[in-house]
Amino acid sequence: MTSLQIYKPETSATQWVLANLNLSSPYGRKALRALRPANSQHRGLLEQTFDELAALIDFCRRESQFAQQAQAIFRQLRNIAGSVLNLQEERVPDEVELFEIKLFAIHFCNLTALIKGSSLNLSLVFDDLQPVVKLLNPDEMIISTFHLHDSYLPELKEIRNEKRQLESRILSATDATTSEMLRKQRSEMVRCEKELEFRVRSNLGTQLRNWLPQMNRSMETLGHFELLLAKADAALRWPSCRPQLLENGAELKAVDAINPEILEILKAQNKEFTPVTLDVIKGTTLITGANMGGKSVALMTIASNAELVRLGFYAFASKFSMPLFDCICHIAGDGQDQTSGLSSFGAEVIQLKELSELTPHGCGLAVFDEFARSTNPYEGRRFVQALGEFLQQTGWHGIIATHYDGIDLPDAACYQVIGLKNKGQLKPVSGDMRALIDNLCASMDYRLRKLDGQSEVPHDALHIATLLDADPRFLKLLNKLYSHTGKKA
Amino acid sequence: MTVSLSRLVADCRCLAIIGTEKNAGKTTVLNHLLAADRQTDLAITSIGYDGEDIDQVTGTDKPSVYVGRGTLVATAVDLLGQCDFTRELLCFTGFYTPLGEVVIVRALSDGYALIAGPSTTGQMTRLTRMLQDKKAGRIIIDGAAARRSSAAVSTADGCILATGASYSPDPDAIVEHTAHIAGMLTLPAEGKVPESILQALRLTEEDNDKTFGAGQVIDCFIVDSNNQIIASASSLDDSAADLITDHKTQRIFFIGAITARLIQRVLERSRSLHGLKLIAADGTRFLLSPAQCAELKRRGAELAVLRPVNLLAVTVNPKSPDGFSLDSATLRQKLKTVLSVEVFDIIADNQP
Repeated sequence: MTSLQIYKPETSATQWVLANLNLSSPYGRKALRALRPANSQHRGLLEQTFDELAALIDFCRRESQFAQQAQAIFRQLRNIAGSVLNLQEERVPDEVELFEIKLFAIHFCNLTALIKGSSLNLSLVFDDLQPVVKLLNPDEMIISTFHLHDSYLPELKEIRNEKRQLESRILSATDATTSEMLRKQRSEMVRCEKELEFRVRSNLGTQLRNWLPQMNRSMETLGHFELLLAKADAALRWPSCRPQLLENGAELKAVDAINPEILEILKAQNKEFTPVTLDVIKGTTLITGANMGGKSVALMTIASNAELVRLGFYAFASKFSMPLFDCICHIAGDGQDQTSGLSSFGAEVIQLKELSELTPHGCGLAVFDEFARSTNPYEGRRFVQALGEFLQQTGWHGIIATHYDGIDLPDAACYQVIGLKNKGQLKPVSGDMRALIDNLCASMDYRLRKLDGQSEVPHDALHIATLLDADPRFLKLLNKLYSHTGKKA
Repeated sequence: MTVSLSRLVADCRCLAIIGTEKNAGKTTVLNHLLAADRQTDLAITSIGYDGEDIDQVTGTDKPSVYVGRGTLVATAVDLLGQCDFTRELLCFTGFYTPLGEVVIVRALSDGYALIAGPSTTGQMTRLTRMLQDKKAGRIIIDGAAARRSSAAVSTADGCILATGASYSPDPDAIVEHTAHIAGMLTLPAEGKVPESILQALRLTEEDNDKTFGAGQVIDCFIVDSNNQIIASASSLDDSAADLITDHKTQRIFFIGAITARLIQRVLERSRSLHGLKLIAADGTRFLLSPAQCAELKRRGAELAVLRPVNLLAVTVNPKSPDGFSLDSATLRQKLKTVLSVEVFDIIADNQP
C-alpha cells in the first residue's frame, strides 16, 4: 500500500471528504498524505481497518465526550520531526527543541491516559513516554513549561545564585564606573552559565537519544489514531454503514448512497439530497434521464463511495457492498486541455485508452458521465454503443450515463431518472435565476428507476428550457420545430 | 518637572513606545521605564524586529533592553540564544516572524533581551491577550518608527512618542516634524462607521500587512450621510483621486494608508474641499507631509481616525547618531509650546 507518490483522488467528491476531515495535528495530516487505496490483494488488511473503525465508531457513539477530548489534545500538538531529526544526527538540542519534545511527551501521555482510562480496545500500541517527561521535568510536579533546571547540575545552581547577587548590586549601583565594572563581571558569569547550560543540554540530548525509537513510533501512532478518529467522525457526521467486501465479479449494491459534498451544499439551501440506490453489474450499467436530472451526481456518488471504501472509510449509504476494486476511473468529459491542444472529446478518447491498458489487470469500476457528449449525436450514439459493448468484454464494472437514444445492449442493467413530476405545471413563478432553478429542482424527481427492457430517453429538454424561462421568441421557434417533427412532448 | 515619566504612564495597562524616526531614543525610554518601575508582572514585546537592533547583533554600541527578573518576554526563537537572562519557556504563540516563531518566556534573572514580536494588529492583539493569560499586569510594546507602528498604537491603551536630533540638526525642523506626527496620532475619532468597513479592516489586520500594495486592492470607500457605501476604488489607482473629487462632500474611508501621491492628485483636481472628510484606521496611516496636511485643512477638508491614540508623553533625545548634540532645554521648550503633552529628556532628567 506504499508508494512515494501522493495519492490524488479520482473524484472531486472524495477530494472534498478528505479535505473536510477533522484533522488538526501535523501527524494526522501526514497519515492522510500517506493514505493509499487498497486493492484486491489487501482484503484482509482492509477488513482489519474496518473492524477497528467499527469499534471506534461504536465507542464514540456511547462516549460522545471522548472524540472532543482527544481532538483537544491533537490541536495542541506541534511537529517535532525536526527536533527529533536533530537528535538523531547527534546535534545538541537547544532549549526550544527540548521544550517541544517535553510538550509532545506530555500531550502523548495525556492521550494514552485518556485511551487507557476508557473501555476502548485498539490494536495500536502506545509507547510509554512518561520517562521522557520525567527527564525534562526533574521536579516532582509536572508543569507544561520548560527550564534548564538548577537541579540538573550543582555548579549551575551556584553560578546562578552568584549572578543573581551581582544583578542586585548592579541595580543598587549609583555611579557609572561601578555599574560598568559589575556589568562586565556579570557578562563573564553569563558566559559560565551558558557553558554549563550547554553541558546540561548535551547530556539531556544523549539521554533522549535512547528514546528515539519510541518517539518516532509515537509520532506515527498519533497519526494513525487521529486519522482513524477522523474517519469515525466522518462516519458519524453523515449517514454511513460498514461496507461489505464481495468477491470479484459480484455486483456493487448501493442503497440510499449519499454524496456528503452535495448534501452539505443542499443543506445550506434548506434542500434535501435524494439518495442514490443502484446495482452495478459486472459489464455495463446504463443510466438515462432528463437533463438536470442528477445523473452526474448519481455517478459521482457511487464512484466516490467506492473510492472511499478502498481508502478504508465507511460508505456513505444505508447499505453498500462491492468487490474490492483494483482501480476506479471517473471520466466526465472535463479533461479538456487547451494548452496541449486537447478538446474535451479528445481527452475522453485518451482517458479511455489509458483505462483499456489497465483493464487486463484485476477488476475495476469505470464511470462515464455523458461519454462523447460533445461530438455529434449521430456518431456519439455509436461511441456510446461501442463503449457499452467494450465494457462488457473487459470484465470491469462500468456505468454509463447518457442521453443518446437507441443504445442496444441486451445484457446491460438499465436505469432512468424518474424526471419531471408534473409536466402540466411548467409556469416559472419569477424571472429570478435562483427562483427558476429552485422551481426546477422542486419539479424534478431525482430517483433512479430500474427499467426492465431497453433504455429509453425521455424528451424533457423542451420542458427544462421552459422551466428555466428561456427567451419566449426562442421557445416559440423551438415549439414550431417540435410540432413539425411530431416530437412535441 | 512635576511628575516623572514612569509615574505618568503608571496606570497604562498596555503601553506602546514609538519613535518619529530611527535612533529617536525609544530603547532608552524603554530601559528607563523598566529600571524605574521594577514590577514582577511586567511583559514586553515589540512590533516586528526593529532595524536598530540589527546593530546590536553586529556589535555596535546600541543599547539592548535590560529586563528585570520576573518579566515576561515575547520574542522570536532565533533571538533567544542572544538573550542572556536565565529563563523559563512558557508557551509557543503560533505567530511567525522572519526570525522564527514568537515564544513567551519568563526571565528568572535580570538580563539583556533582544525582542522581535508579531507585526500585524490582529496578532499583536492576540499576543497581548496571551500575555494577560500568563498574568501580565502591564504590557509594554516596543514600537518602530511611527509610520510602521500601526499594530502597536492600535493595540495599546497609551503611547509615548520618542523624537530627537536624528531627524535634523535644525531644532525647528524637529519641532515641526514631531508636532505633525503627534497631530496625526491624536486626530479625532469618527463615530459613525459602516459595519462592512470595520469588517474589511479586521480582515486585513488578521492578514499580513505586506499584502497591501501587492495588487489593486479595493481599500478606499465613499460613504454618504446615511452611512451607506456609494462607491469604492483602489487608492493605488489614479481614478481614486477622481472619485474623491467627485464626492468631495462625503466621508472617505481608507482601509490602508493614505498616501502623499493620492492627496497630491486630489489637491491638483479641486480647489475647495469643504465637506470632505478623510478617515483612516489610526494616525499612523496618514503618510502625508506637514505641508499637505496644512493645505488640506486650508481648503476645508477634515481628517479623522477610527482609533485615536492616547498620546501620554513625548520624549526627546538631543543627541544625533552623527555626533552633534542640540541643547536639550531649548528643544524641550520649543516642543512644549506646540504640544499638549509633557516632554521629557530621559538622560538629562536623570543626571545627578
